[in-house]
Amino acid sequence: MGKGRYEITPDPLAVDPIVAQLADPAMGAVVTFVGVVRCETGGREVRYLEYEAYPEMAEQVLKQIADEVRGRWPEIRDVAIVHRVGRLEIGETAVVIALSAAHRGQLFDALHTAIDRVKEIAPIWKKEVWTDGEAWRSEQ
Amino acid sequence: MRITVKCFASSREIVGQHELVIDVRVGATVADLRDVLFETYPRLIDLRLRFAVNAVYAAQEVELHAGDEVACIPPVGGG
Repeated sequence: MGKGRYEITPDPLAVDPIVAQLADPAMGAVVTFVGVVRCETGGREVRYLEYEAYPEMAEQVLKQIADEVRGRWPEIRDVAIVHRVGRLEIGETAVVIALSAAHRGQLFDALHTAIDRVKEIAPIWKKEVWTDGEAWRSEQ
Repeated sequence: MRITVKCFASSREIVGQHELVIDVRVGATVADLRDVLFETYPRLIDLRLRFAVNAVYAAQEVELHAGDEVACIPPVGGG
């Protein structure tokens, strides 16, 4: 078990193929987090987002996050974390995290931790382009 | 010795390019390289930068070696 998938990609993300990759006969539950570009932030109208990453490092960090989560919740069978880069329009998927286990158990807590860690330590940046300006999200 | 510096996001915009090659003395640390960058591009000072050496977060006192790749990591925030 535990093939894992840790990827930065410019290509559009689809949830089903990522979930399908986790499949194994002993798996009884999968939880997914899907991060989507929304049209508003802090009262400003968003036109689109520009994501940038340090891919070689980010993919290692995503694997490190998966290792952390599996270390804390050993019942997790497999982890996929895939993050998109480039220009993303409103409604497009920016990140997909999927965790599998025999039972749902602690999967929700683990998922929450996984997305928090991605935001905290993965070398990925997001520029918000509004109708009246732009800024890197983490510097506001 | 020559160090490749990769810049991302706001640091890339300040530097004006994604990649630089910077000469530092043998035995230089991340902090020494940071000082060269800050002198050349003072606007980097305000960024609360972290650094990575060969794609791993590195403390300021880590010693560099010829051919290392150092990355400027402004505050991250994907998702």
